[in-house]
Amino acid sequence: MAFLRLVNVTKKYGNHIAVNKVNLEVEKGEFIVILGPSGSGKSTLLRLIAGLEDPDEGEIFLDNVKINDIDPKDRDIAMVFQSYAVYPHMTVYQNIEFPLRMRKIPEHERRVKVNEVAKLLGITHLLDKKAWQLSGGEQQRVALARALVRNPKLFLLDEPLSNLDAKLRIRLRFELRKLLHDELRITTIHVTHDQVEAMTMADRIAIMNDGKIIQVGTPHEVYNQPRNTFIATFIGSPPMNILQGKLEQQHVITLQNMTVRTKKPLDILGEVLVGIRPQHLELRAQSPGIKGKIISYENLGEELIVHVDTQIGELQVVIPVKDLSEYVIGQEVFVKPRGPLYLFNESSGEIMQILEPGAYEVNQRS
Amino acid sequence: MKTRRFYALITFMLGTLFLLVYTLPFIRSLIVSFMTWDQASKIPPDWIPNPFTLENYMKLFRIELLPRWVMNTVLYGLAISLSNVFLGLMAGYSFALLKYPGRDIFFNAILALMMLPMFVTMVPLYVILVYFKLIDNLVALPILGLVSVNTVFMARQYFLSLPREYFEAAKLDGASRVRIFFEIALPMAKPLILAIIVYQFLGAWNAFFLPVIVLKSPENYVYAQGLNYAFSRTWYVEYTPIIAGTIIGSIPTLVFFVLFRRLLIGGIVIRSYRR
Repeated sequence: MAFLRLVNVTKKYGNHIAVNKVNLEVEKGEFIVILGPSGSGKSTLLRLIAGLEDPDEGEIFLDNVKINDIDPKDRDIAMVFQSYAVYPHMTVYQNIEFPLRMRKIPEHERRVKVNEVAKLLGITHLLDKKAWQLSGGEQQRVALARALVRNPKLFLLDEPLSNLDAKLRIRLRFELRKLLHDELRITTIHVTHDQVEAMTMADRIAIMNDGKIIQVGTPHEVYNQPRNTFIATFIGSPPMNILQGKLEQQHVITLQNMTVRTKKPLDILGEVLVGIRPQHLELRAQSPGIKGKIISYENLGEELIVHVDTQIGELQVVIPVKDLSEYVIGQEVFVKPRGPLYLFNESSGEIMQILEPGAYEVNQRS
Repeated sequence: MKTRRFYALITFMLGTLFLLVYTLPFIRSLIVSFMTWDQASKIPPDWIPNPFTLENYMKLFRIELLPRWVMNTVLYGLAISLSNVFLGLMAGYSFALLKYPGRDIFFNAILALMMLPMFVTMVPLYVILVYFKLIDNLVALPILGLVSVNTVFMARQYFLSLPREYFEAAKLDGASRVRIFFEIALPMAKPLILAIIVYQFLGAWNAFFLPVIVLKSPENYVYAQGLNYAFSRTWYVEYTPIIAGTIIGSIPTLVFFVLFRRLLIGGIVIRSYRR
């Protein structure tokens, strides 16, 4: 039995369904990231687990106990808020001590624990400061310390990195996972809208949209086997290109002036959406390839993102910066796939087939 | 550029006009408090005291009951400040942060009370006071002023304006509702508490109508009421000592204003905590 189990959890606000029949299982010691755009219901889901909101339907089990009706203060769940919520009228020491004091732990024991966790997070020098004297990064550490000090069963993080500047965010992303997962082995649910954060931190990612969990899997799985176009374009940077294609025969996909012939026939006919990652495309001066015109590029230092306008939509192609000299804006080029092709249902966007590079060949349309 | 100057001039003139309209009565009172009644009641009015006299103030300080009245007023002010802070904050906290059935209906009902003119409730209130034998009892005033709707409203808005996460974090940290109130809400409401105390204290200092209805014996009077009593003769009222009394009476108000100016002007705008 999983450590945390959500069964058909639903939360409505009036007519709006914020969380829609969510099922999720989290194993002990696992680091789960809930990823979704804003308004997808991910924070609400976290608040339901914490007990700050009550579900309208469904059940939540923690350590084999149903916690639906247990008061938040008795659930033994700690949470770090996006705004940190470090109590402004208390010192850092008093902040960290607060949950212990509420649990009536004797003073000498409290002192030992507060000092221990302060040392762990490197904030011993801040203990006498008032919360409002701290910087964003320091407040975040204090909020973490306050959550860690009582050894909670479950650790919830609600976008704890999004208020920090980019450099600190990248540093803390790594440190958080190292501390919570590798060192303390705390079961953690981390909510974010940043797919890079999700990819780098998670054991498994649960992707939410419109109140539903669409896919749960390891970073490798969600990146390489996205369940639909939403996930395919949400995970990975720049996002996957989705092109309108057509199957007139069961083993030939037509993409504008290019055809993709599969080795095995597909049981699909008609319109289809074809997904290709920008990293899996190459630019060529001659056919075969999808014909288009370079409209602009973005320089990332090592790589270039080249934007190519074609009749079936705009394509983004990632090429090494050293190739920059070969192309100019306005030039006519051919874009040829050299990685997996993802075939999605034209109306539902669900994945139908993944064509590995060896399973197809590219030709000019005759 | 020209039009901007023109508007600045208009604004300045209007501002000066309003300043005069609002301060003139006070300035007039100040001048009159040094006049004899004969001169003060002249029409058209005289503006320079002649003869200049301190008699009005002397009369005031010769009243034996004056210290008693001041003391009554201070006690009244302290009592309603305290009760408003505790009851008002608790009520505001509950309306802002706790969830229970009927909360918003209850709050709206209380708000509606604020819209009623006080005269509507005056007679029933009097009947109730008679029933509880509280007429001519100084305790009646603080009981009637235990908590004002204004305070509850102010407190609710204040707590709503604080980030909800502080209270949620405390909940998850294991604090009960009562502890959250005392450990989180109360310490974070310091600016609000000061504002409530100032408003209530000034309210007590200026109270006149309610004390006149409730209190009968001179030794129970509050300040403003006492002044009126001391200088009302059978056929006329000695206005100049009363005016001198109101000048003295406005000193605490002015002191309060100077001390807590920023707080009062900012009303209950909270000090934003640095993020």
